[in-house]
Amino acid sequence: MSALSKQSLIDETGFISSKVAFDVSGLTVAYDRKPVLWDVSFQAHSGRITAIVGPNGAGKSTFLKASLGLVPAVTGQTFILGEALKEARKNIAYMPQRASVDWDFPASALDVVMMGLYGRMGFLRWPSQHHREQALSCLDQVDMADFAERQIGQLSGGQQQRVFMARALAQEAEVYLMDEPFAGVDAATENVIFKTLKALTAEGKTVIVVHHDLDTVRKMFDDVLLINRQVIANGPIDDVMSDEALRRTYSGRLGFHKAGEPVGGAAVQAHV
Amino acid sequence: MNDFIQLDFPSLLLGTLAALSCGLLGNFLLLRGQALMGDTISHVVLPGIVGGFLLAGSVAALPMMLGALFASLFSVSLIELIKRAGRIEAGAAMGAVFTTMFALGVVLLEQSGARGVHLDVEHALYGNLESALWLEAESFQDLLSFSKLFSLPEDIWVLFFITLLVILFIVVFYKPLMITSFDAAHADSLGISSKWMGLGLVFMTALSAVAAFSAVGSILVIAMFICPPATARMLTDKLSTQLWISGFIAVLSGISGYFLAAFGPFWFGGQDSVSAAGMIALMAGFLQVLAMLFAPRYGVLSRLFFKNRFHNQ
Ligand SMILES: Nc1ncnc2c1ncn2[C@@H]1O[C@H](COP(=O)(O)OP(=O)(O)OP(=O)(O)O)[C@@H](O)[C@H]1O
Ligand SMILES: [Mg+2]
Repeated sequence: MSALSKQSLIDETGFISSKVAFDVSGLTVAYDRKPVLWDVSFQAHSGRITAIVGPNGAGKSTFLKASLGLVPAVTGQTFILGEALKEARKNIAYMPQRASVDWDFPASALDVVMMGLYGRMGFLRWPSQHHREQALSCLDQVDMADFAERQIGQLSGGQQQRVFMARALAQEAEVYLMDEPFAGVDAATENVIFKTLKALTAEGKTVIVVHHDLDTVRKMFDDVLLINRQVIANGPIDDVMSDEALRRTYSGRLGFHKAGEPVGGAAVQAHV
Repeated sequence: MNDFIQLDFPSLLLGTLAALSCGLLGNFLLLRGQALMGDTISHVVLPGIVGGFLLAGSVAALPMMLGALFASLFSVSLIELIKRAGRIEAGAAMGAVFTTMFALGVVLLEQSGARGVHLDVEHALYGNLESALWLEAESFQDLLSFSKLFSLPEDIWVLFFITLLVILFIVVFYKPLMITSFDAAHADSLGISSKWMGLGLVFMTALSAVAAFSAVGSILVIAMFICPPATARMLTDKLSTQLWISGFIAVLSGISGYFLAAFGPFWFGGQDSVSAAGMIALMAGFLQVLAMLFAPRYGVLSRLFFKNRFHNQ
């Protein structure tokens, strides 16, 4: 897709009327010199919830990490509410994929949520009663207050996901980047997390979510970034998530795919 | 009693301090899946120590210490390099580096042997706890006298300050150490650098391994990096509590191990005392076995007990 056609889409829908809160331009990332993301530019708007959609290995997680400077990028820049990444750390809440941490770690649910406060807490500051209460209220928002003292390994997957959600809430950020918060959770947890995210957008925050379930994307999200190594489309769902765009996202016709990598699954065929 | 304060007390102090400084840092190594790091560093310091000795031409603490520190930092960089350049898994890279460096140390030792100074392989493995003496002391009251305390062996003072430094490091960096150990990506996203915290931890590990090594040898160093934290982990699910327990267990192993080594054989009618460093390590291992069996939640016995009760219902 050319920059031109994207621009025209944006203008038609008044997409541009809300503020650009998360602005990535020209992001290229390579692991061991093998390009994973190629010239990815993406904008997310405040008060809106954006889904990042693409097949396994498309570079969705890499996109989140590289845009936050957590893995080195070859080129690319990120601006958060007009500020460069370095100045904007406090305005970002990043939630990694659940499998990325060791759940045997000696910490309770409350301890983990408290870590969300560390970014704002002074370096030498010891967590106080006030911080505890703040963390508890975040746990309460995801219906996990009863599990505050439970060691995190003794929570179910969905409960762990909620704890991660509460940790992100504790950061009181402007932009929330969540890597698959809905992976492997049941309807109740999905509901809680979704409602929490919606409440954030209602406050004018920006929410960006890597999402796998094509069936629910239209229902849950405002905007979408279709990605497979490069940007396929970015904009309001109704405008850009055409069958053609989805097919291009999942069919791997972009020339980046090598044999053996997943190229579009049954989910797409069912959908398209 | 005079004997005790002159002969036993300094060794006891040395062994306990070594156990404490390594035991506390081990918590974070274990949580980061870097248990082997203690092992690695305690081996790679050997060529550094011998090198320092060869260069200085005497068994002075400072050059040997600097040599050891240099060797461990060199090795850590080498491990990183091998991991990246050769795309080799961390454990394998550490294994490759520490065996090579240790071998180099042994070869250098043989060279040094020709000079007829006391530095040998056994010393490297078991240390030389018993050689710490405080002949200036006359009674327990000397523990309260500054001027007397200053006459404690240099080794003890070095280890004492390094133990203090380790405690200070953990207290000051508690939050960043915890968050970078739990979720490095999240920490980085907050601007808390997991890389710098990791380097700081390795540096402190090197420092305490080096200080402990010359006193108690590599076996105790390795045991202390792993056993007290692993034991403590079985007994609690809270990091701050785990740190306290591991410190307590390190001190307990140090004291009980030393007494058993120095006096145990006589109680059983033996003639000679056994290696104190070895005994301290043994006690640390013994306590860990106890915890594995009897820990309230994670112990084998309590798990069996609960499983049976569950089945019977
Ligand atoms: N640390 C790494 N080193 C080398 N290659 C990597 C690394 N992390 C990811 N990759 C590769 O980069 C590509 C993109 O990975 P990424 O994890 O970003 O995909 P994803 O879209 O998040 O996939 P999923 O849906 O499975 O989570 C994959 O081909 C993967 O093999
Ligand atoms: Mg991913």
